Amino acid sequence: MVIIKDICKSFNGKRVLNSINLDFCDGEILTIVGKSGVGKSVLLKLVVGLIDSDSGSVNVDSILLDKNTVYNIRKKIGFVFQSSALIESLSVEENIGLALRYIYNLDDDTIKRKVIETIRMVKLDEKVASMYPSNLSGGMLKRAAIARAIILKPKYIFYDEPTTGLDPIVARAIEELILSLNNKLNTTSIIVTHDINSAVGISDRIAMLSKGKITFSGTVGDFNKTENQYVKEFKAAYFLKQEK
Amino acid sequence: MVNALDLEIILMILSLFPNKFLYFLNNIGGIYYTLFHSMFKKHGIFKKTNLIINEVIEIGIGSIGVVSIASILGGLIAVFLIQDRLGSYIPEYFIIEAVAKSVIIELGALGASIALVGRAGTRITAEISTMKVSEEIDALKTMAIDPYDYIVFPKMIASFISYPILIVYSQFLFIFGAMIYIVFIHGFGIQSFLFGIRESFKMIEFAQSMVKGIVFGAISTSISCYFGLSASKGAKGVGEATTTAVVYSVISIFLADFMIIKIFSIW
Repeated sequence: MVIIKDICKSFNGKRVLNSINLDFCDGEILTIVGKSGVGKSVLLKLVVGLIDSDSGSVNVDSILLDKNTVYNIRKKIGFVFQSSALIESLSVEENIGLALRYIYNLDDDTIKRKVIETIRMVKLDEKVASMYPSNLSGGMLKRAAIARAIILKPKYIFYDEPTTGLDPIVARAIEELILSLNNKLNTTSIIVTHDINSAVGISDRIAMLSKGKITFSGTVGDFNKTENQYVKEFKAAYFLKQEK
Repeated sequence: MVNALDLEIILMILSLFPNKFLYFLNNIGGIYYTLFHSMFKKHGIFKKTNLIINEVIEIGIGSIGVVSIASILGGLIAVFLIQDRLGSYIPEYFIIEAVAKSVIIELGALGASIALVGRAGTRITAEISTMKVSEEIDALKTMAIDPYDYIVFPKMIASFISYPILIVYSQFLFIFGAMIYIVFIHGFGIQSFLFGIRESFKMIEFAQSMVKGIVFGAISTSISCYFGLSASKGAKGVGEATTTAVVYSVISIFLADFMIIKIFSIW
């Protein structure tokens, strides 16, 4: 379980996160929704120690995140970046097997076997393994990034805007993949998105981040019928955009 | 020695630009951190053999062209200037000795290192800063891979190997350039030229150039990596990081050069 307690973060004097309290429960799919620039990605990056908070604490499985524990905590977390962030100079196979080679010192045959296994799991063609990220489409990049995140069978997978920039068909396929991986690997998935349809479609729980605070947290059912002002405004703006 | 008044004047000048001074201090701290954090960590050097070989190819072999051209031309220019300005006052033997000494002690190491900053240093900063802005560095961190270990360490080792070798190569080509002028243009005997070179060679001066190679390699690579890792977002950030790295590298190499010469002058 991940427990975020009283996290605050400012950039250039502007408070982005203001005393955030949130738990990620084991096995659930939690989606954090909110407007662009509200600090959703910052919150995810704080939990893996990519950004330091100004105050507050993060506990991952009862271990306090700090400079001494951050590398061990990261081994429990897979992170899928919005930009996919595959290493451009490495092939897809090398990207996916990177942690196995440099953290777990596995031999080449074992790495290859595990990489192919993972590539199949994310429904990528095996031919993609030898290709370089610059030759992949958006959907393939996202699948490769997911493969890299899950190869160590992490307990938690963080997805930063996993469907942004993808066409609706590929976006739905990625959502289905997230759902199936969550069931197959029995992981806890935390998704950051501003796509309400996606959030409602795959989440167990939705949290709304606005004005630096968690203004709503509840099940999909609660989210659909809530009278929360922030949720209603966000939904109205989202569906208005969809209609246009 | 700096007396109290000098120190007061220096501090007064620095206080006029407090932000610039703090930025400079912050960078110096960052460069030291990059150097020591990458080098004095527990490394699995054998599992990084491929990465180190790749970097030797990029930094060392990739820079042979620019070092060759700069060194041959440098040798030609050095001997031409000495011959042109002093040729009528000193015997030709001394011209050869002057060229050989200046190449072994100074020009070979400095020339090769500045060429390497331009070729390899800029590549390192541009590569790392692009990785930084495209979140590849963050991706490494989330996989529990330390970028100082995976990216900086192989480049440092490759620099320790490449810089001294390229400096020897540069010294050879500097002298070759000088020989082209003295033997083929000026008509001095090749045997006499080689005798002059042999006579003026001192092991301690050659050792000094090797020390410079290692120190300049460490300076240039740690500065290039530091500014790459601290690049801000966007193409502008990549450009700024590369420019600043070159400026810091060149100034630091000249400073280190002066200090090494001072230290070796004790012997």
